[in-house]
Formats: sequence, structure tokens, C-alpha cells
Amino acid sequence: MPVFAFAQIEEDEFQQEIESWIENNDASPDYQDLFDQTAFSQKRRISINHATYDDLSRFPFLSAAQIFAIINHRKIFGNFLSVYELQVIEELDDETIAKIIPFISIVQSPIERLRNYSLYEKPLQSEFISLYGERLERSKGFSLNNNTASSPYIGSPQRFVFKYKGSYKNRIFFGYSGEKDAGETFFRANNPYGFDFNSAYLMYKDDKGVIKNIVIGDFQAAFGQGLTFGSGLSFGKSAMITNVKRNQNGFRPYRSLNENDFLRGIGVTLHKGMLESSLFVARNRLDGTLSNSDSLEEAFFSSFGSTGLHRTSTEINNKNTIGRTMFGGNIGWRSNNFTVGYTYIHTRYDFAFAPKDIPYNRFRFNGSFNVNQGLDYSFLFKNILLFGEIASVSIAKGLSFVQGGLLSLGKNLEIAFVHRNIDRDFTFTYSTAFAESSTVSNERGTYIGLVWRPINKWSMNIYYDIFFHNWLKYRVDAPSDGHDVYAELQYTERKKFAVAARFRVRNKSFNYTPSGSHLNELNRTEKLQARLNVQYFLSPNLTIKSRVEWSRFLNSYSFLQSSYGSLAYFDITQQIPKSKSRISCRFVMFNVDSYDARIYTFENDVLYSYSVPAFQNSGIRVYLLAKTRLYKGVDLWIKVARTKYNNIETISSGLDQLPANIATDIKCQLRWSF
Amino acid sequence: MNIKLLFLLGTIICSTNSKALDGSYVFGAKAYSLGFCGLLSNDLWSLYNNPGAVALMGKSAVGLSIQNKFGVSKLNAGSLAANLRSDYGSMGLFAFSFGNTSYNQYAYGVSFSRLLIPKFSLGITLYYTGIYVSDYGNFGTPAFNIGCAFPVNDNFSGAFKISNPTSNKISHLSAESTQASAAFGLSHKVASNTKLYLEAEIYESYPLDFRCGIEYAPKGSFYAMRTGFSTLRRSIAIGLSLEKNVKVIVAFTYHNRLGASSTLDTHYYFGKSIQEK
Repeated sequence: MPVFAFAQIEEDEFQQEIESWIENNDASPDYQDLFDQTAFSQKRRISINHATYDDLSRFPFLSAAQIFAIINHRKIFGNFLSVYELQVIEELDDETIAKIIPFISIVQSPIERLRNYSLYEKPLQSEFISLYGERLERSKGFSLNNNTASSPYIGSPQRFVFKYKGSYKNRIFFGYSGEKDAGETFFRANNPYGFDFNSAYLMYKDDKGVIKNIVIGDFQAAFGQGLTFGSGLSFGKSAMITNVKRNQNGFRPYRSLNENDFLRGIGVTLHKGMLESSLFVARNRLDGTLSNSDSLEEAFFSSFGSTGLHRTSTEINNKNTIGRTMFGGNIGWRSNNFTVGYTYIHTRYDFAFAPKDIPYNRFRFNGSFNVNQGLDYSFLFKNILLFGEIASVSIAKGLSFVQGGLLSLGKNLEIAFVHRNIDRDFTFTYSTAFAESSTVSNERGTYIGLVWRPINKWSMNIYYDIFFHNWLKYRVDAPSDGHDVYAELQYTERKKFAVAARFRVRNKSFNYTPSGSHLNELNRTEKLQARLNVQYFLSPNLTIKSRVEWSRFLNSYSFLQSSYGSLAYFDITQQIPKSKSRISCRFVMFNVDSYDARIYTFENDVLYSYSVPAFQNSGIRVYLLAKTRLYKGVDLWIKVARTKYNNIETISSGLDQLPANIATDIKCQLRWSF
Repeated sequence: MNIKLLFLLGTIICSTNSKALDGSYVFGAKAYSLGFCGLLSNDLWSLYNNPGAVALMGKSAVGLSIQNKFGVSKLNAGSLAANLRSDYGSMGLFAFSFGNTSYNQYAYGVSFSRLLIPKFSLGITLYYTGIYVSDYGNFGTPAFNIGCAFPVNDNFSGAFKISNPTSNKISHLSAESTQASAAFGLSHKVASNTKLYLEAEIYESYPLDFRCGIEYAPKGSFYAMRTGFSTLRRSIAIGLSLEKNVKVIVAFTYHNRLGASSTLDTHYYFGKSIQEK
């Protein structure tokens, strides 16, 4: 058994892995939640002798073929005696083995587990994080009104975050997160006790006991393929072509700072033999604008607040106005090769939800009460994995399903497919099934993905997704269709050199009002993106990275209104192992005609923060990120980023508008772990 | 052709093809013949095209480049450059002039480049660039380019360059400033004698320039042939170089409306390369 303790592994390693994964996805508001879904987030190593497909698929660097090979090897030859036995699996190369070893163990018995635990882990592990962030230029929201002598934003322009997470003997987990956004008050006015957002959890976990876990406080829950229910975020279409199966089942503590997307209550998972049952009850207060609030019986709301910002008196008044009670759970039969489960979710709001009376909302959920139920399964046979879920609203309204499969044809070829048919009546807010739209409703489509490794070091990733919307959508006043084509060619010499060329075309329809007409027509649009990315490890501690990306947004009704975008960046990162320090610097130049042609790029940030800015207009962005170890267990991160635009005089709009063409952001984070 | 017409033509060319001496400009016949791929041409004109690549030049050199645009004698350009290699790095000088007595663009500067580690070189060029217009006077500004080059192995090389990131204003009389740009390039040896160059450059206000060039250089031969194209300049190019003691490179570029331009370079290499030392 190799002497690797999880605590000895640099946090940076996890960050690099999750960075490369997130980089391939479009911007998303809550990366911590995504991070928590990977194997990197857990403090305990996974037993390779007990790991299921779902457990192993939480390692982003493992392909479906490699996971199948590990499971099949275990079936044929029995339990692994050493992690080095992985070397005899043809599908696993040395690099992959080196990457996975820190996260796995071959622990077989409780005594062995105890022995390993006592050798490598302290009983109580704690981590404190405090973050300060600020934009140096003041937005309109902070400028004083001459008449009232006050600014629209009541609080100060600084952002503060405090986080604590701890664990005791890897059985009990607890944590607290507090956040004050820029413009929110701190220890005064509407927040006399400190932070505007507070979140805490306490979790007991025992994989072998009847009570598998209990979580009290804030948590996330997901069952099956996320169609009937899945709170939080989930990965969608990405460069991880075969990452189409949802692998979360049960509860996980909530550590993120997204203020409206979690459950607050209690959840328990019971486990006996192959039978597993997860039950929860949660009561949350959500942001929203109440109409007819004078009469509680007639009061209703038409939208949920999603920003989590409470800076102005209006935002503060809308805070926590809507109560939501949810209960339900999942009961299922789970073996290594076959799982089947039934999910039931009951949701009740204190007030009726009445979306705006416009055509595209016709089939949307309205009222104060909703019941969702569904049946999910997954079946693994040799190198074929099938999974799916069927769900409905109430008894049989909005019957919808997701069906997918993964097939590994040797070590060189993997195929994934997902077909979904989600009824327009299926309008449940907490669904995270695989779909083109972020709102899982009114969509029928088929996705086929392929990973091909024709020769050593080369790989080709391709997917094709075609989708139809049978009813209207936001900004689409007629049934519509579209497709998404993605192709990427990669050449990788691990820890030496990697080059990737990517091409993506997305075709969708949106409204267009011809001149002289009052009726909208559908206008087919196409966004084409091409990217060349190079990463070069000059030495074990010095890495450079460079990218050029080009985008084109075409309107079918007018080529004159088509827009283009281009971006190039150069990134250099130097590690100093002796002082456990790292310096990262990036220069970005961009020239993007419109929002439609915007280009996203991932950029390094302080630990547990993941930044993916969307670039538009013309300008230059530079940032410097430094991390150093001040003392044993005490780390400091500082980031300074500055963006200068050449073709605009003001940045952003509304109260966030800056009266300048320069934005400078600073962040400082301190971590103490022991 | 009268002066006014010439001035108009010059202005058009400057705004579409080589506006001031900014990020969109590329020096040297080799880069021209590779469809303006200059980031990894690793010759004397890298002093401007990519200062990071100068350190990859084998020897010290002096050179002269002359160019004629579209067959108009008053649209001639000339450049002089010299580079001295030492154990501490490469130090270079260059001067450039384009135009005539009525309208002239010019630049002169110094460059320093060094191999930081065996497969990574970094360089900087500081220069002064300006425009002289007989009726208005002389305007100019200091500017700089930073570049790097990283030959990964015998087959792959990469380079990155940033030009004029500060976008300095050329004159207080107008809003015109030096064009900022960022360029990224790769070269790949697709066969033992053939090298492919791919480059993309982002500009502050021009569309993306995608450039592609191919070089055929048989081992042991004294000649090399090149061709390429540039999407921004809408030009295709061909070129030939001959090398004995003196290297001579010629390039022809063709613009479908303005016609052909020709460039002739001569380089003389001297001293021992660092490897020979």
C-alpha cells in the first residue's frame, strides 16, 4: 500500500483538475457545488474494491472505458491486493494510475480501515477560510444621491466571505458559510448579526451502517438522473463527451454560496443490504416579489429571485418573502450492476406561483402545490451501461423520460447517447436532467457522443445533439428546433505538452421583428466557435498556456447584423515548491462585436473560487494571482485583475454601471487548516 | 501619379494593410512569403515580428530588406537590422522607413532577447514609431513588443507576442493610436523537409488575422521555398531563399485589388553560434 495520505496532497492539485474540467463548460454561477460533486471534494479515499461506476465516474480524468475495465478486472480476478495492480489493466496508462492513486485505497475490512485511518489522519480536521474582495472603481449604485444624501446600495463595496468546514473521525462533518456581497450591509441595518447569507450543516456518515448518513441544516439532494428531482447544479454538455450520466444519489452537505439553490432541513439515508432509502424534509425561504401582498389569501408571486443580492431597499424587501416546504425521497434497490429507484417529491409554497400571462408561460407550473414522482434505473453489463428515468408531475401529467447509454468498444473508442423527451407540461423547477436548456421542460432531443483515440497521445472528441421544442420559449414565439455540433482534436504528452483544436457550431432560433411588422418571426441563428489551445510544461514548476479563440454569430435574416469575436491569451504559472508558493499571470486581448458572439475563458482564482468571465467589446485584461504559505497550515492568496476596454466609455448597466472603461478587482484569501 | 492621389492611396494602404507601425505590421521577406507568419520565422526580422524568437537565431547577423508595394515607386519601404549574440542574450537594433517625402512612416528601436531555460526564450523590443505628413508635421510615440518562443521538440514550436498593449496615442491632434495586438503561433514539421506555420492575431479594431504558411526546405540544400496566405491582408504569397555565405530571400505577395508587392532581403551571418561555442 503506498504511503499517500489525502492530507499530504496539495490542494492545488485538486484545483488544477477541476479547473481543466470547468474550463470546458460555459459560465455557471456556482462552481463550489460542482466541485463538491467530484471525488476531489471528499476527504476520504475511495475503496477501489467497493467503488461502483458512479463512484469512479466522479474522477473527471477517468474515461468510461477505464471505469468498465476496473470493474471487470475486479469481477474476474477478485479484489485488488495493491493499488499497483491497476498497472495490469491495459486501459490504464501510467499517468492515469499516478493521478488516481492519491484518491483510492484498497481497504477491505473495518480493522484495516481503522488502521489506515489512525496512521494517516487526525481525528479532528478543520479548515477556516476568509475572503475579502473589492472592485476599486465605484459603480453607480454606490454614488450618493444629492437629494437624499444616500446611495442606492446601502452597504459597503467590499465582499466578505467566511467559511469553516470540519470533520471528526471522518464520520461527522460540519461547516458554516457566511457571505456579504458588495453593496450589502454588514453588522448593521438589516444584517445586525453580520453576514447577509448564512449557511451551516451537520452530517453523520457511515457507509456500512444502517443509517448511511444524516444531514441537518443546508444540503443538496439528487436522485436518479435528476429528472424527478435534483437540487444544485449539474454538468451539461461539455468536452467530457461521455460524462452524460448523473451520478449523484442521496444527500451532500451544502458548502456553496448560491443563496437560493439548496435545501434547509433534515435528510436521512437508510441502508440495509441492497435496499436504500433517502428521505428528507426541508423548509426554505426564497427571494421573490409578492403581488397583492395586502391580502395574504390573494397574494401571489410571478418569479423567484436568483441573484442572492440584497443591496437596495427593494432587494431587501424581497428577501425571504416566499416560504417553500418540500418533502420526499427515494427508495431503491442498489447493487453494483443494477439499480432501480422510485422518487417522490412534494412541494408547497406559502403563496401561489403565477407566472406572467404570456404565451410561452402557458404550460408553466402555477399554483402553490406540486407533486413529482419518477422511476429511475441503471444497468451495467460488461462494457455497456444503460441508465434512464421516467417522471411525471402529479399522477400522469407531463410524462417525460431520459434514456441514455455508454458503450466502450475497446480502449480506443467510447460512445455515449442520451435521448430525452420532456413534455411541455413537465415544468418542475428542481430538475437537473441532461438537456439543452437550463430549464428542463418542453424539449425532445438526441445526443450522440464519441471519444476516439486512434493512436497514442491523440484523441478525438465529437458530439452531435439535435433538439426540438414543441412549445414556445422565452424569446422564441413558435415551436423551434436546433442542433449543436462539437469536435475537438487533442494531442497530449502529459506534464510536457498539450495542444487542442476545437470547433463548435450551435444552431437555434430566436424572435425577430421584421421592419413594419408587429409580429415576431423566427430567425435562425448560428454561433460558430473555433479554438486553439496550447499548454507547455517548460519545467516541472513552470507552465505556459496560450489560446486563440474565434467566434461568429450569424443571423439568417440579416448577414449585416452578424457579429464576430476573437480572443487570445497568454498565461504563465511558476510554482516554488520550497515555499509552497505559486504565481500565475495572464494577459488577455479580446475584440468581440456583440454579446451574442461573446467568448468565455476560465481563469485561475483563489482556492475554491472559479472565475469564467464572458468577454465582449474590445480591450485587454491582465491578472496576477499569487499564493504562498505563510506558516504551516496557513496559506494566503492574492489576486489583482484589471480590464481595460477600448471601445466603450462605461462598463455594465443599471446600478452596476461603472462610469469608466477600466475595472480593477482585488481579492485576498486566507486559509488556515489543521 | 500626382501627390494627392499618392497620398490617398498611401492612406488607404495604411488603414487596410499596414496602419502606422503597429501590431499589424510584419517585417521580412521570409515572413511575407509564409503568408505573414512572422512569429516563428526566427530570423533577423524577429527583432520586430517576435522579439522572443531572436534568441533562437543561431548566429549574429546584419541584414537589409527592401520592398516595393503594388509597383508604385513611391510606396517603397526599407529596413536595416543587426543582431549580436552573446552568452547573456541577443541584442539587436533596427530601423524602418516606408513612403516618400510627402508621407512617411518610420520606426527605430532596440531589442533584447534571452533563452530563459533551454526551451523557452523571452524578448522585448522598445521602439519609437511615427508618421510624417508634409502638410501636418511629424508625430510619433514610443511603443514596445514583448514576445516568447518555445520549441517543444523537433516537430513542434509555439510562440506568443503582445504588441503595444498600452495603445499609445500617435498625435494629440487625432484619436489615432498605435494598434494593440496579441498573436499566437505554432509551427509543425509535417514531413522531414516541410514545415507548417499557423498563426492567429487579435487586434484592437481589426478582424482576427488567421495566417498559414508552408516551407519546403530540403536538407543540405541551399534553397527553400515558401507559400502562405493571410485572411486580414487578403493576400497570398510565395517566396524563395538562397543561402551560401549570404542569405537572400525574395517574396511576392498578391492582393486581388491592389496588385503585387515584392520584397528582397539579404542577411549576412557571422561569428559562432552558442552551440558551436
